[in-house]
Amino acid sequence: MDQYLQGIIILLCINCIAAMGVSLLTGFTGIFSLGHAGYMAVGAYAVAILTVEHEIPWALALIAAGLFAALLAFVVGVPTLKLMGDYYAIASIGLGEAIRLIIENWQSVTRGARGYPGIEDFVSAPVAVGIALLLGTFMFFLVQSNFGRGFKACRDDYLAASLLGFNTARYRVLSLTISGFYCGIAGGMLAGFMGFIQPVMFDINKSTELTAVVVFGGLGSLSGTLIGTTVITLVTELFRPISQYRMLIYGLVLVLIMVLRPEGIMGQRELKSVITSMFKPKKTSPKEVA
Amino acid sequence: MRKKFGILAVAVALVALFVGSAMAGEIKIGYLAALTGDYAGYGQTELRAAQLAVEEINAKGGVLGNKLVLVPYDWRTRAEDAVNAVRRMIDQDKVVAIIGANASGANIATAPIVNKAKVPQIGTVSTNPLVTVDEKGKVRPYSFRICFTDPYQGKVLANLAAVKLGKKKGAMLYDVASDYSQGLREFCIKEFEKLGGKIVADEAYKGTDTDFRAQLTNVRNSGADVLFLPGMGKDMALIIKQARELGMKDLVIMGGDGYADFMYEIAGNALVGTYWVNHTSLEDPGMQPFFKAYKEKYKDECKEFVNGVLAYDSVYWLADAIKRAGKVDGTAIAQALEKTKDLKLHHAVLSINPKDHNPLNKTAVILRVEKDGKAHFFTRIQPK
Repeated sequence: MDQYLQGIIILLCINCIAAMGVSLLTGFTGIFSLGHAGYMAVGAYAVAILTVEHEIPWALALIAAGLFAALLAFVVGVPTLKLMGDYYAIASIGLGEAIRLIIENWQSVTRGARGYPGIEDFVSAPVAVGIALLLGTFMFFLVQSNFGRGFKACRDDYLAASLLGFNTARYRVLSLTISGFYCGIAGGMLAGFMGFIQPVMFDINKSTELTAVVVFGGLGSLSGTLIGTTVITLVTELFRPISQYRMLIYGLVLVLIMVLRPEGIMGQRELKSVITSMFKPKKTSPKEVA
Repeated sequence: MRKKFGILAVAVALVALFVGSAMAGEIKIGYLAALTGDYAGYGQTELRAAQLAVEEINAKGGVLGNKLVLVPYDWRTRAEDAVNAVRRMIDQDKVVAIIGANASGANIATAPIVNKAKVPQIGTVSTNPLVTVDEKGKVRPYSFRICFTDPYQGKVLANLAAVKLGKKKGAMLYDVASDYSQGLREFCIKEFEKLGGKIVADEAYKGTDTDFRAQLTNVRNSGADVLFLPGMGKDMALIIKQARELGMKDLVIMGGDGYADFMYEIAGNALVGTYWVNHTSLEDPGMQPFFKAYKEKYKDECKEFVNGVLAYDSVYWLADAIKRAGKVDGTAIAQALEKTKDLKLHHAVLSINPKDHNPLNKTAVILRVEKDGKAHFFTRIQPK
């Protein structure tokens, strides 16, 4: 397989991991975030600094990157998740930009806007696919578990969930922490794929893109998120020969899906339920006896 | 006899056909330009200029009997997109060389790929030293640039201020989010202080900002007699406009090659008297055919003329290197690019330093904006 196709697979895996993180928070817990690129930035710079400056093996550095991002998400989540709805979304934009600006200005550690070069390119296609499958499997079981039901309860009716005895604050913080971990891993992998990172890679456009693919795939559908990410990643690549017009197609695809299917490609359904419903025999009503 | 003659005629025809098709072969050159995103204006100008150069070269018979074909890809002003674009150029389009990108970040990100694949790449306006050398200072064999570097441009700016204009109290207003701006600032300060100058105000802004009055008030209060602007067109135009509005009429303002003609549309007469480091001037006789041809073909002035000029000459430089290499092979082309000496391009005479693949002692042109709103030739500076 040539380098180009491998590159697409790697980028697709990275995008899927980050999107799964956002999906858990936005799709399953109902907390809209527009600052998750910030957690990717933390992961990316953690990998860069740990592997280049401290010569830590990439696998350990990658785990540490995820944990750093998760820790930051937890620390930030405790005070900010008191904000509800749009207010948290606005706060998350500020947070994402604040992280990026700290990285830009903290030149002695991050090397600033000029970027961080010389990172070991440890992310091959098998590594990326392996990590994506591992994290995907974990996420699948998580959303099906009692925790998953807790997250969904927070999303569907926060107040009712509280009255039913769910510790909604804990679920929201846990969701953000796991979400941060996933984005941290994705950021670390991006650093290992690129070999060079800059703060501008993790701007608000990246955050918006992550949220867009989750909405595009279907809020509350893990397979929808993965399908959405795949479609968006492939659309930008397949139409590369038509240069700037591919972004027009990218925009049109997003708009069309939102118009034709406001609930996203999968809505809240998973691929498994869609496939089984296709092959299930239709129930026939019993004939009336005269 | 007749049969033999017929066979001979067919053989000759086949040979002629084969030779003809070989003559009309294609040499694919990748072009990496930001056609969408923050640097789209610059990238689109570059691509147009490169297309123009390719058409001119092909009209004169191409290179080694083959016609040049440009394979352009947009990198959206995003380094990860540039990586995939370059991989596609190399693996699927089988390009022999790549020109672009129009930003250092993309070139640094793609450098390991082109060097591994042995496909030479020429950065047009990529001024970060790491474009052509790695972190250890070792030259990247397949990475080149046609522009001067941040350290060189910083030296030129400092020389202009401290030596040519005799200014010793400098203020710096730079874009904290731009690698280009940060690099130019760093090297300009270093050289300015070496020449006896002092930075009395060091202010920052973020690329998306539009109001710079707070920083400019600090500049005014610092008593600076020269303001360095290592930024891009739109930001610098707004800064200059606001500086003059705040009463800083006598403050000398200068900047790097981020200057573009469209700045006058934003800043108006506030731009008059400002100085800009550049690769060429609009009055350069060598560039007039290009500006004329560009206007005829695209029905538009080449407003981002630095990008246009460097993209145009990058194609001519690459074509010359392929000719000198004598074959369409990445390694041979890279060696020819490295051995470039006293090559007469349209905007400059180019020699390449084999130690770092940067242009060797390339003279910088200083432009001064006059009352007609255009940047005119002021002087040349070649710091040691």
